[in-house]
Amino acid sequence: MGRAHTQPADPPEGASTKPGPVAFTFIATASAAKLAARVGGRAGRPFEVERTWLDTFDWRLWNQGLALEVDRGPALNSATLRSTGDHRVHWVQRDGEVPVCAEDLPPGPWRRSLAGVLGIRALVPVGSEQVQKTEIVCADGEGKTVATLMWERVGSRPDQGQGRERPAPRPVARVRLIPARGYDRTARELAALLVEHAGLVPETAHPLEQAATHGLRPGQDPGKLRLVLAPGMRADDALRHMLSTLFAVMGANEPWLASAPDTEFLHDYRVALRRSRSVLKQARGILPQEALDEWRPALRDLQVRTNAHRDLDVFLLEFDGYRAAVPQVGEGDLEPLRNLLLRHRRVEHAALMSYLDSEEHRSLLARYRAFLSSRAGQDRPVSDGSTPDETRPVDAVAAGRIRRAHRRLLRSGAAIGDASPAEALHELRISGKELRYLLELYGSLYDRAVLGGVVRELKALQDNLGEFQDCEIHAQRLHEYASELRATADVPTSSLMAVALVAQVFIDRQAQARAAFAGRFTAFASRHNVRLLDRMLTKGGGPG
Amino acid sequence: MKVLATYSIKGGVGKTSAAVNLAASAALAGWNVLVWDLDPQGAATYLFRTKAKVKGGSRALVSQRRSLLDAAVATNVANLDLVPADFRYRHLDLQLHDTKGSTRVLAELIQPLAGSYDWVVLDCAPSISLVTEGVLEAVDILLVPVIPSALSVRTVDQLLAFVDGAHPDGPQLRRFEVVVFFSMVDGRRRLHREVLAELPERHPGLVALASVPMASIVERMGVERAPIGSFASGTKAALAYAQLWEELQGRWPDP
Repeated sequence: MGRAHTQPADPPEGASTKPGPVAFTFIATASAAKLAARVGGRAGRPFEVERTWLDTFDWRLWNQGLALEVDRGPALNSATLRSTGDHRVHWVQRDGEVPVCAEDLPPGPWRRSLAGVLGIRALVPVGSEQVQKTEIVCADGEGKTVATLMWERVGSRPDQGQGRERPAPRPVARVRLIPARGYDRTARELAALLVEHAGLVPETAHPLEQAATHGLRPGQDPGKLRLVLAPGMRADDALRHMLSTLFAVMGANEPWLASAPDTEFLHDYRVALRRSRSVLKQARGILPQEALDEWRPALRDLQVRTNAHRDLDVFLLEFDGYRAAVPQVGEGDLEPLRNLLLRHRRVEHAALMSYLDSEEHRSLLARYRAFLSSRAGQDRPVSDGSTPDETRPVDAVAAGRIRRAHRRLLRSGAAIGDASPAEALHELRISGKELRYLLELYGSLYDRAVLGGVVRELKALQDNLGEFQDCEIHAQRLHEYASELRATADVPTSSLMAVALVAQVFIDRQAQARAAFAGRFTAFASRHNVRLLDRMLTKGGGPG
Repeated sequence: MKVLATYSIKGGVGKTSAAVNLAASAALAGWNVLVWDLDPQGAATYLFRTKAKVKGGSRALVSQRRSLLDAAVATNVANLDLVPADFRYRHLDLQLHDTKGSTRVLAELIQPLAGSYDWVVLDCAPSISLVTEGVLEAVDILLVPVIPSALSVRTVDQLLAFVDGAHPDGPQLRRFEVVVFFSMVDGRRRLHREVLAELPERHPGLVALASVPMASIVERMGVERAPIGSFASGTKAALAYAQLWEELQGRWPDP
């Protein structure tokens, strides 16, 4: 066994001697054998693997400094959880299945490391590459591995770079330095040796940044709105930019709706759709009326097609919570309800997929894409007289729209009393959502700190109205499901009673939400909060 | 996290071989495993090709100036780390004696490992001492290798009497399971065969089904300085340790 040129550190003393950043990824032109000879390591046999990186779609592992690599090949099947900073191995699983969701995680390192990170999101492939890899083991005089060099020649994958431009993979090898626990000093010395004596070039990017697929970028949640508007921008350009950004979010999520690894793909798709509708609703006088007359009903129709599916997703996500809320119900009494919900969701899912796969939907997308792209320079459509505000600066338009939505919300909220029907609160919730979306869409025009304060109070009100409305729908649907179950011969009475008890829990919760409404609304409508919004709109000033 | 100690009052019965090979089996199965070599002789540390030294020695650990996580180093086995032995562990008894709540110290040192490891394997020195009492406070499973002989059977009886509170110096309340396995078994010897049959009858549920044969390949670990599975995976001894691990994992599937 070869001896590393670097003298091994005194392992238990493992303290670092050299402060400052150390590279753990390098570009090499030397072969694995030559590199091994240079560092006094021992090169193993090269082998081919198909590598897939798994993460949640919103990069929860990456944001925790973790990367999950799954290598599949004739000589190796492994899943390795590493640190993104230094590729340090947290654990390796040889062979075996790779779980998808938090509830699938087996006990042990999977559950310990990932259960708290995944939440309701599933692990999906976020990057892939074909690799010929050779391990170079650097050992001390006792034959103890003190670091491993992973020499990897990377080939391209057919789906790599999809959705955005990427540089072609470089025809050289990547070398990753994997430190062993307790040998940090050795790893630092080896990193320096690789650069100074073995001719390797440090690489700052993590391999996954090259290998990301589906147009993803590590750390950037494709479901999150990243919208930057410049003050003075033409209002029509700003709105088209908003709609295009939201369309991109829908486009990022739509390919995942069929396999539905988790429920958040549909959720994020719907939020982008709802925000798009909100933009269109506020676009009168800015975008051509003809376009609004076409796209407002079209997007509403698309949203309606997803409603039942999402309601069922929420029901099923919260199912364990229902059981906990009625501890007096026997084990298994709610299972007929769960099975019914699953059956309904399968039906809704099939119906939605059938529509999304239809020529009608494809044609709609193509036309909508064309509408969004006809925006600049000579492509700009000639005004038909319905757009007097199209050239106004976006900040002036935004302030007017936000003030109007805010006034409407204050007026409608003040009119709600103890005797107001549930529909009035539902309408108020929709008005609140519109204001929220406006604040989010135009948010980049305003001071971020002030905006945060305004949104916080609005969110508290929205949470209250959301709880009220959700309880209303849940209770109502549970009564419908109970009727459906009653018509099924083999559902025991205990299960019907259990459903009724759960429905009662929602009725009670709805009453609590109703009681809390006045307090929440008073806080939102406070003079301080109204002034805060007014000051924000008056000052503008971009992100603070 | 489960804490398992390989323990025997007698020396040379296969404690270290069991600790090293079972830990390797657990690591291969995908668990994160830490071996703490508590024996100042450092045999497990030697088998893992690691220098027998912990910065600050046992005093730094006992005083909790240094955590076990700080002291852990990787081994050549994936998923398996080691807190090495240190010759200064020979003073561990005295240091514990001078520490308040002496019998809880080891448990307190081990407890923070739960966020990082699934199994902690303690390779204990052969004795009954304050360190032993500390180990008994910390473990979930006490794994006792027994060579099938009349004297060893008597040793098991003594140990059970001690851990079950029959002895005034023993633990007041046993919070761990005892698992005995036969080690260094020579199937050609009639006495070995007799004890193999007798002890499970005398202590139902105590003795593991797997037994480790007397085999030169086990001694070869000292030359190869690696768990048997990494250089002689198909041998009877390797299979015996793998089977013993399977039994333990079957009883504690979710550490």
